[in-house]
Amino acid sequence: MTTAPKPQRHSGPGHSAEGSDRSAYAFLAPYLVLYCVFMLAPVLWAFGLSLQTGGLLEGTSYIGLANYSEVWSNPFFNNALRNTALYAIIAVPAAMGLSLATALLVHPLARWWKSFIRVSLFLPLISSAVALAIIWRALLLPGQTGPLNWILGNFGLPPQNWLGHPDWVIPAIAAFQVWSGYGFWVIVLLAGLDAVPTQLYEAARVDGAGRWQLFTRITMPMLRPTLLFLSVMGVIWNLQLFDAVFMLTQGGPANASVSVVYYIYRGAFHFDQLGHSATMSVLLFLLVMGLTLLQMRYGRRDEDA
Amino acid sequence: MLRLADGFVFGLLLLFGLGCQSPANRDAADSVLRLWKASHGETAQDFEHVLAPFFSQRPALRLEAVVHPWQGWDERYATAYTGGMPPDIAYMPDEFWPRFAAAGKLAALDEMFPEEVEAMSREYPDNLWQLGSMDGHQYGIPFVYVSWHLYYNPELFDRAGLAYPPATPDAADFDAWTWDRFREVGLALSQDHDGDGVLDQWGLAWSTLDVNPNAIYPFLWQGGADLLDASRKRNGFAERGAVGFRFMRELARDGIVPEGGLHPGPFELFYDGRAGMMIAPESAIHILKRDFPDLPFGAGIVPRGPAIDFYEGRGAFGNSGFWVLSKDSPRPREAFDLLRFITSPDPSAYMMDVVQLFGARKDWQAPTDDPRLETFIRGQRYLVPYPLHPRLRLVHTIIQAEVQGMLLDRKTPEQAVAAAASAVDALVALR
Repeated sequence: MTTAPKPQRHSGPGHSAEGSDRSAYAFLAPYLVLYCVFMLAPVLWAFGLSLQTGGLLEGTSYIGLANYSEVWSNPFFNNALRNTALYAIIAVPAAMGLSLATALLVHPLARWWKSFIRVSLFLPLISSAVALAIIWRALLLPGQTGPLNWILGNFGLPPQNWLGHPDWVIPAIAAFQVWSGYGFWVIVLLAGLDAVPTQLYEAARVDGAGRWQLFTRITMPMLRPTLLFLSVMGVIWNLQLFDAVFMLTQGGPANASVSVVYYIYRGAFHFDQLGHSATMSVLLFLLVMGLTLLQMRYGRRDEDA
Repeated sequence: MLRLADGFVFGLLLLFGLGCQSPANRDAADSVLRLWKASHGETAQDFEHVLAPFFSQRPALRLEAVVHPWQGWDERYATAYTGGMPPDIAYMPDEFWPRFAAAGKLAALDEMFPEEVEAMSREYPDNLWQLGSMDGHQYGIPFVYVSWHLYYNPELFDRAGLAYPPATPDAADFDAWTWDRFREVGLALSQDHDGDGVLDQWGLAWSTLDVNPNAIYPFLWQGGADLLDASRKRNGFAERGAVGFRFMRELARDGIVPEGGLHPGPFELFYDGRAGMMIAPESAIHILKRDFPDLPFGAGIVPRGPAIDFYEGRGAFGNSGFWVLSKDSPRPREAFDLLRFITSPDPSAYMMDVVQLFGARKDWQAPTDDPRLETFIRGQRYLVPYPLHPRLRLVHTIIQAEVQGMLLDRKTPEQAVAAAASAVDALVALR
């Protein structure tokens, strides 16, 4: 019996093993430098700032953990936290359901149709966020003249003040979030569907499986990693919601649409409470990380099962 | 031998090091004077044009004018001043500059250039000059002021058989132009034309959802309240603020204003001919003529509230804008000269012509090409200045949210005033 030769590192002329390692680190270095300067350092700095009081202009001074004990009793932070949770609860399942339905409809289409739809759906992602917000503000105008209200009026539904009423402002912004991220979700799901081996469907059909069984027994299990990735990303994006609130409502009416990140921004730049905002940033970071780990754990457990 | 990858890393670090070079050194090398202003409609080219004579006499200097949108003002300036890269001179309204002055970021002009500043003070009305000073020091040189009064649609008034709002204090019906009359007019203008039971025309295009509180404050002032008291150490509306709050709620409940005062874009209704009145600055005359040439409009003084002891009960919104000099400017002498040049008669008049706002100088000649401007000129006496305080913009946020809460029936006017007063007191105590 012969044994397969052990794989060996390639070592051509002038290429020692240590030299290759050093080169690898050298090639990694630009990324690591940028990562440390623009990602890691600001995060560590934010931790440091959370232990201080003061603002950008006034300067800061050390106060220990006082910000952490204060932030939980701050009704505005709790309000922002509640709003942010609502955005995520509405937007993530809605985006997931809509994009999955779209991907399932588009996937069987001819290749050029699929490409056309992919491009069309991706356009909002590469469009200016300000332009999108202007369009949405116009679409969501209150009264009967607002385009969305006009459409609803044709179905006998009363007009709503989408961006001016606290009951509607969160669903309206969540809808904007769903719409603006929808193209990305569909494209990722289409890629996931493309990766499902067609032999599985053919074998199942031979065994007499119907459409519903194909979907529940093959498509969904095979898409689970994609769906897990999208749900994790969706929760992260929605917990970090800022631009839609900034551009559509500035947190109004009566703080009904303030998200955590918008509140952090306002605290730092308008209220000049940098330490306080850094504390909320740290808490948000821990929340996002905790939720992500939880999602990953449960998602992977289901996969293993 | 230096390998390719090692060289790349070295190059990156070199670039990073160059990027960390002090901004003061870099600017000193090419002698740039940096000017920043949020746009009132002008562009950087307007400044390059109007300041060309200044720079032609100083060939070693170069202008870097940045004219930017108002959105994101706070983060732009706070980071620039904190990061050590402020503009040499910047335009800041009276609600913005005290925060920077209190933080020691602006130059006290009277200390640095006492004789010139003393001479300049004689070129401006006292009230405007005082709005550029705080804690005994002059930080800002006045440039513009805005005057907010009423615009009305004469066609809608004619159709409803209503007399127009008085254009000046000389008008015969001026004294009768009170909150009660204003409300009657507003009610008459609020109509349901198609008979579906829903209003499609309103008396006043007004909302509390605007970023600016310019629409809210006149009713507070006309009710006798102010934002802060004379000491500027506590709120100025706890006692008399409820009058204005109640009036705003009446306007909302009566349907005089659209969507109960929570319309995201109320001015559009005036532009569309679906609102009888709006409150806006003098520059709106130019904008309306340019963008809505078919829209008929007139101008009138704001109505009189019950507080006849405070600006005769006609407190109107009018703030002013100043040029300030950064304390960290590497060339304070040249920057101050630039500031003096831009506020001098000809450049100032040129810029007022571009932005269609009122000039702050005593010698500024108001345009006479549109008779409606007379309302805003004669209405100056009712303009209530902001109390200068580093945290004034946060006062706006607090009052605005409480008014919105009241309009949503979450609080009574009295509760909303009390909550706002308590929050403002806590805020100003932080100073």
